Amino acid sequence: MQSIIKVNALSKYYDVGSIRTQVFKSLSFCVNEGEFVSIVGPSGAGKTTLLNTIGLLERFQSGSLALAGHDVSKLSDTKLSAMRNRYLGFIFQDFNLLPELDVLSNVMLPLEIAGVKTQDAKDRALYQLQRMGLQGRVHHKPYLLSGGQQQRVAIARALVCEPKMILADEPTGNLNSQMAFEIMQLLQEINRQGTTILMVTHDENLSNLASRKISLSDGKIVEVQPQELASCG
Amino acid sequence: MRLSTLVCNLKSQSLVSVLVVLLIATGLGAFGTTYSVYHIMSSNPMSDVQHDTRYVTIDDWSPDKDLQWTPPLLSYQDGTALLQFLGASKGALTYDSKLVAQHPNSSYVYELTTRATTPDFFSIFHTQFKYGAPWSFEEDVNRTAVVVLSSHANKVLFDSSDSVGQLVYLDGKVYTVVGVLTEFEMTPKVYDLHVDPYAATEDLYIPFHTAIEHDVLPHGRLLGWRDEPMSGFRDVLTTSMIWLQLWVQFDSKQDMEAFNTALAGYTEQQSLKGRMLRGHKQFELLSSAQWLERNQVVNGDSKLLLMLAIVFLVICLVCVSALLFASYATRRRALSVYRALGASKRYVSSMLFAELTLLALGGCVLGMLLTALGLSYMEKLYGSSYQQVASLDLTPIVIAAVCCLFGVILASVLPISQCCHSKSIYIRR
Repeated sequence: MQSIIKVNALSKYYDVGSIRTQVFKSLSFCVNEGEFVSIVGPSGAGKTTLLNTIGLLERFQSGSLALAGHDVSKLSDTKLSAMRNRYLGFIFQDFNLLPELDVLSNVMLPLEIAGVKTQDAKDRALYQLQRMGLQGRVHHKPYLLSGGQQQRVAIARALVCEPKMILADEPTGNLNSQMAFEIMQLLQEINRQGTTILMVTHDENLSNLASRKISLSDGKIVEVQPQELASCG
Repeated sequence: MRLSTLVCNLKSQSLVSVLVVLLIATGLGAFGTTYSVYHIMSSNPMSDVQHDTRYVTIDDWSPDKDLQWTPPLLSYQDGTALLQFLGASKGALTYDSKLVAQHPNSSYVYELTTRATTPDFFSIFHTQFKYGAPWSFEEDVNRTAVVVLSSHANKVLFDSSDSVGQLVYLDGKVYTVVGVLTEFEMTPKVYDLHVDPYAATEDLYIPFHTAIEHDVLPHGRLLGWRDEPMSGFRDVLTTSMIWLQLWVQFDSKQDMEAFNTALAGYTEQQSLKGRMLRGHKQFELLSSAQWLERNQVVNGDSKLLLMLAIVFLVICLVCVSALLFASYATRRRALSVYRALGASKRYVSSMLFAELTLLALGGCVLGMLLTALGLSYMEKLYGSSYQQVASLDLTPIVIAAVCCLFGVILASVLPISQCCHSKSIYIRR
């Protein structure tokens, strides 16, 4: 199977004044197309920063990163942004829906950024909202929806550009157990339909629902389960 | 990016949006008003005239060394003598007055501003005739009682009908209407800057020699320094009192040189007769621009007011910039969502510029309305003599609005640049 994410000796640190904080060091792993991989670890292990780095939101200092076969190390901001728009969908713990826009406009946003014509964007957004069972809420403002519904809007937004992979950062962190279960079922369904998912969580039970689990501690990979899937394709 | 998204973004920051619009509007309102007034004050309505038009001065003033002033007017003796040197050139010897006008079949009388002038005035100052034509040079010299009406005078006396050939009483004397002008405005009134450079153009125009014949008194300044006995208007004609303006228009440089030589000969001859006692430059041929400058039509107060308005606009724009810094700081999380969804820095900055452009356009429209209100207030404040200066001229208002838009763009560069390049734009959760 082809690797969609190739991380090789990736290192990142922050300099605050004269103090250097190493977030992660010499990380190497691959994620294959169609996989559902979870990254687990305690708070401060570097999970979110790793996800943001793979999501091309943050730069790294050394090593290499390839997404869908493209080496992203030396790409300009415009090209990185285009890759983010085309290949990646984000799901956040806090949903990060824009409160001033209604549900439909929130879901249309990635297509608007991609320059898709309004009517086409509207049709595609409505299709995704229908998939999420939110067809009756398209003109609601996000704050009028429940946490689970808001996260489903965020998932619809992540899927609307039909990305190759979804990056989810604690997607159930703000939800009760029932809603968290529903969202996980939804993510598994999306994964079964062929979309690669990389999920950051600190919840061991949720991470076990993924096909592979990468454990991170102090910026280093401490365990990969199951081990036999760890090789790069 | 969709307009509706931009509007939603602005609505989410409604207070900031309203404040930015108000700041731009007040800044532009103040700047637009003062710049409009300055623009009209400092304009030269004769600047696009093809021919070389000159104002003639002769210095026969007191030899008192403390007096640096150059006499701006001519005496009757000098004015009429210089008309003889015109040759092929055009010349307008002129002064202003007021006459009481009455339609023969009406009991109503009107006091109307009047200009006594030789007929070339109409072509030198590009007046347009709605009906009829100016009187001829011969009619002027023969003291014929004819009159050209402004459109306003024609409306008052003849209800805007074609009044050519009609009779009208002016100070009790019968005049025949030979022409009616279309709307004729000149701000500043270059041909007569002495009493009020921003006064309206005259209602009636009568031949210069006819006016003298009919003892039409000058309404403007009558200046003199010699101790000369005078008992009436007729005596003014024989003294060195100055009260006339002479404009000459030349078709070629040779014509101007010929007039210049004749003028030099005339002043030389006059100095032999005991005049021109100051010794230095005895005459001048001033262009309209030099004449406006000489009369300080744009006074220091207007320049200061314009400077203050520019400073006020800059302060408003600095406030806009500060508001944008604050606004973008609170929007960083929302903007980071845009980045996560694939928006490049260029896209985000374009979006912020587009939002600001909407606000700036709103501010400019409101600012233009404030400018119109400001001009109308100034007109009320300073009365009818300010009517021309405070008139609504779109050119300076549009120039002011464009300057303001440019200023807003400049004011936004730093906040937008800092916002888009800030590392804190990235989402943590």
